[in-house]
Amino acid sequence: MASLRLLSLATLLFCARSEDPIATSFTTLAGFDFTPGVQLPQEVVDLDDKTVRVQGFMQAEKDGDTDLSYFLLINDACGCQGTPKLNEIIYCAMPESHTTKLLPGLVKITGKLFVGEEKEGEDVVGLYYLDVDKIE
Amino acid sequence: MSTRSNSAFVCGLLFTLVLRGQEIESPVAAGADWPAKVKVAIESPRYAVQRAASNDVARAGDAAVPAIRAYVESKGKDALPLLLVDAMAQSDAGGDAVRALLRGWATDREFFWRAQALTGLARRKSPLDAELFAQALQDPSHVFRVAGAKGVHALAGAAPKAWDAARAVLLDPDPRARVLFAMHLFAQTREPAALPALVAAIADDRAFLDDDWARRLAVQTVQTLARVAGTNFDYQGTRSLAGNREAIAKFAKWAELDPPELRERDDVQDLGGVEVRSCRHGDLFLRWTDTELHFDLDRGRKVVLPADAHAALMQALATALDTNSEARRVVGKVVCDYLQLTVRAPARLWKVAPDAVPAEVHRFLVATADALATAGHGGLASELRARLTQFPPHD
Repeated sequence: MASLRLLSLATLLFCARSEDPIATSFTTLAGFDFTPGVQLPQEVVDLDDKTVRVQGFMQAEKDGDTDLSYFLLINDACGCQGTPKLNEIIYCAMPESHTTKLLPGLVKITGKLFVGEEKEGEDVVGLYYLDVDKIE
Repeated sequence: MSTRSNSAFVCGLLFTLVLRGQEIESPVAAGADWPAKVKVAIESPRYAVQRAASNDVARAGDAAVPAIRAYVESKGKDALPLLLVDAMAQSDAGGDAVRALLRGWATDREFFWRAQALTGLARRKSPLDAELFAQALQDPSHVFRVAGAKGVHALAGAAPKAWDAARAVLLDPDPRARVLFAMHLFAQTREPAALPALVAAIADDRAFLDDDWARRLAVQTVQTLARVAGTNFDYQGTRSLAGNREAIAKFAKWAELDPPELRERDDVQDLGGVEVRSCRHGDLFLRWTDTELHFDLDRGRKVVLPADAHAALMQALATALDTNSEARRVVGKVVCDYLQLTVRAPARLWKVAPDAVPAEVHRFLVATADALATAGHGGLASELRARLTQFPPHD
C-alpha cells in the first residue's frame, strides 16, 4: 500500500513537472491598452499560474549587469521607443541560487507565469512575473 | 500573483528598500528628500523600485530638478537611465526648470536619451522650442526625427510652414519613423494624412534577421486604429499575414483606402548581418547573402561585389569568428548604443558595446567598407566607416 502511495506521488510529481508549456507571445500579452485597474483580456487572465513559453529580449534590471538572478523580458530589441509599457515587461526570476548571463537577441523563456498588478508605493510597477525554468 | 515569483520579488524589493533606508510611501510630500529619491531612481538594483522612484521624481516637477542636476554634476550624464529621463519627459508636472532640463538633454548630441527629452519638450508645446523641433527633422536618429515632428505638430497652428516639413516624416525612408509618427498623429488628432502609413503598417511582416520589427509595429498600429474604429476587425497578432488579410482589408475600407499590398517576410537566405543601433547617431542595418550585401531595414540598397571580393569578405568573417569562438554573448556594458553581429553558420550572436568591439570584427567591417569603396559604392563605404568611428577596435 505504501509503495502504491509512493508510486502515485511520483506520478503526480512527474505530471506536474512535465506540464506542457503554453506558447504565448507579447502579441497577446501586450496586445491591449493597459491602465491600472483595467479588466485584462480573458486570454491573458487564463495564463495566470500556467507554465508558458514566451519569446522576447532580455534586459538587465540595471544597465551593465551580466550575471542575473532577475531580469526583464521585453518586446523590443533596442528599447528605442522609450520605457516599455507595463504589459510589455515580464519580470523574470531565476530559480533560487541560480543566475544567468545576459543573452543578446531573441530568447525563449519557459516557466510559470503570474498575472496581476504589483504596486510599489502608489504606482503599479508590474503586471507579469515569471519563474524561469528554461532559457533557450 | 502567488508563490515563488511573488515572494522572490517582494523579498527583493523589501531587501533593497531596507538596505537603502527608504520608506514605502509616497514621497510627493512637503520636505521630500529629492536627492535620496533621485539616487534610488538611478541606483536601485531593482527595476520596479527604479520605476516607482522615477515616477515620484517626475511628479515632483521643478522641485526635483536641482537634485537631478546635482547627481549629474557628480556622476555624469551617462549615469542617467532611460526610466528617469522618460518619466520626466512624460510627466505634466513642472514648469521652467523641467523644460530647461529637458532642453539641455535634447540639445546634447552625446546624450543617450535626447529623443525622449525632445518628446517631453513636444508635450510642453513651447514656441521657444520651435526651432529645435524643426532642426530635429534632419537628424540621423529616426526616433529624434519623430520627436521633432511631434513638436512641430504640436505647434502647427503657429508655424504652418514647419508643419509641412514635419508631415514629410510620414514619407521618411525609415519605415519605423513613418509608422511611429503616423500613430502619434492619428492618436492625437485623427489626422487623415496618417492613415496610408498606418494601413500599410498593418500589412507589413518584414523582419531583420530574427527581429520581427514590422509585426511589432503592426500590432501597435492595430491598437491605435482600433481605439478610433471601435473594433480590430478580428485582426490577430499571432496569425499569419495572409490569415489577417480580411481584417487588413476591412481596416483599409474603414480608412477609405484601397487594400494595401501585403509585405510578407522575405525568403532571402541571409548568411548574417550587422546592426548598429545608436540613440545618438541613428541606426545602420547590413545583411549579406552568399552573393550580395543588403543595406537598410527594408533592403532598400543592394550591392553585388565582385565574386572574389565577396568571398574574401566571408573569409575575413570566418577568421574573426574563429578567434572569438563563444556563440552568444554580450560584450562590454551596453546601455543604449550597440553593434550586433549575427552569423548563421557557425551560429554567432554578439551584442557589443561601443568600447568593446573585438578587433577581428572591426577588421571585417573595415574590409567591408573598403570592398564597397573599391567596387564604386563610396557613399555606402563612407556611411559604414562613419558608424565605425563610434565603435573602435578593442584589443
